[in-house]
Amino acid sequence: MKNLILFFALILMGITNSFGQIQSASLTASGLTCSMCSKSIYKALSSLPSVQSVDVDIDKSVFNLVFKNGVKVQPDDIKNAVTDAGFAVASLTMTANFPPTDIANDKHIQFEGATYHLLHVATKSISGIITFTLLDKNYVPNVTFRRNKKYTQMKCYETGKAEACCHSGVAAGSRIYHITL
Amino acid sequence: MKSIKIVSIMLLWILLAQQSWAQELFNYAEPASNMPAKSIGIRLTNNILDEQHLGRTTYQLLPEIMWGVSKKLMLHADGVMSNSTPPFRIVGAGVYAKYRFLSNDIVHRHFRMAAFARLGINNGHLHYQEIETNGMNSGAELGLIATQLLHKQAISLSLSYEKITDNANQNKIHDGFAHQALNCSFSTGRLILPKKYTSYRQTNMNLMLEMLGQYQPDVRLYYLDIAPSLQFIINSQTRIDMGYRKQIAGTMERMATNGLMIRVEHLLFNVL
Repeated sequence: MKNLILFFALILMGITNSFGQIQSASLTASGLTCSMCSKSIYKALSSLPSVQSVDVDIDKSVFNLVFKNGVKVQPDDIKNAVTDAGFAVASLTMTANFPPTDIANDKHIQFEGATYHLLHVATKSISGIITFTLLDKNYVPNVTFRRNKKYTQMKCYETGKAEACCHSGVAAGSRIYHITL
Repeated sequence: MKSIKIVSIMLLWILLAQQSWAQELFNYAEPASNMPAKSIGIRLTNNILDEQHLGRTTYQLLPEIMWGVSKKLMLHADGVMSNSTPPFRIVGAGVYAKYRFLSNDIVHRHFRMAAFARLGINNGHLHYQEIETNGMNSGAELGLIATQLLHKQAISLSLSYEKITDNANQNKIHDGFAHQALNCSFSTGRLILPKKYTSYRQTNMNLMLEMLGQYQPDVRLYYLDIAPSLQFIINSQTRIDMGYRKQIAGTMERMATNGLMIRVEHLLFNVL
């Protein structure tokens, strides 16, 4: 009986901690001071199909999100919820369970059906629970976006889409997120 | 006496600057910001106007529905009911659109600009020189709004051009009355309570101070009003606005040079 419980527990852990799952995120919104404005962001984030719960610090405009298991998370869905509510994203960090992955500066990794372009990272292997920060346009203040240009010469940083410079099997024009660890 | 009152309001304002957040959900003017996309707002405005020269009080009721079409565009449609020409009846309607074309956001700050347009129709009698397409005249208004939100101070400026035609039901503009006007507003607002945000259920109390003016270049008439107001936001979703508007300078004949405004507004998030 004990073994059976252990068996099901392991299966359950396997589901809840499946590789590739983005588990949580922390978002700072910009352009607001009022609680009614904050609530409009809270409602927009809460209504996303991938979001299980949202915890908010109204004073700091920080929204901590937990995602549902087994649901793919697209960072653009989160950013669009904030901009549709009338505000902007100042920072977005996400935490995910990575399979063993080799990373290097200016290299792409495929993750949860999306392509991520690594910037300002050392060449190494990562695995397990890792937190990364989005660096794309409209995910950081404009000043930060311009400052981070020094980390890459690739055009996809400007457009957020696969360009001629991308040659790791990514379809031309497909979305590429730029991240750092 | 009047100047003492105004100085007192200004002093109170400076004192409050030490301890509060900025607020831009102004009671008399619109900020450059829009309501959230895919949301609906319902607004009911009551104006109680003191028609001193006739020794009576005029009551105006403006039900309004607001729609956040996208992050940049919002639309309003409103009706106007009034007892200005008794009995109390529907005297007009209007549509309003606001398009936010510039938004520069940083944490707890922004600078935004928007363009707006209003079309109003009205069938009330035209006794007064004041022009107002939101409630009294048939006509159109086009304008620009710029709003700067800082941590502790929100400042908003608007400029608009208003052009009127004769009102419906043969109510013609009197000879010698202006057909067009320039409007301006200056608004500032501040959060008084709570001292620290901990929950969306906290009732917010905001204090606003606005200046509203009109100049009619054809006839060289003007007015300038001061409008202090108080706002409560319940459950971060329902607004209760209360304001008093009073003329501090002016040369034109108006329905009222002072009046009370009480408004209830409820926002329905993500219903579309």
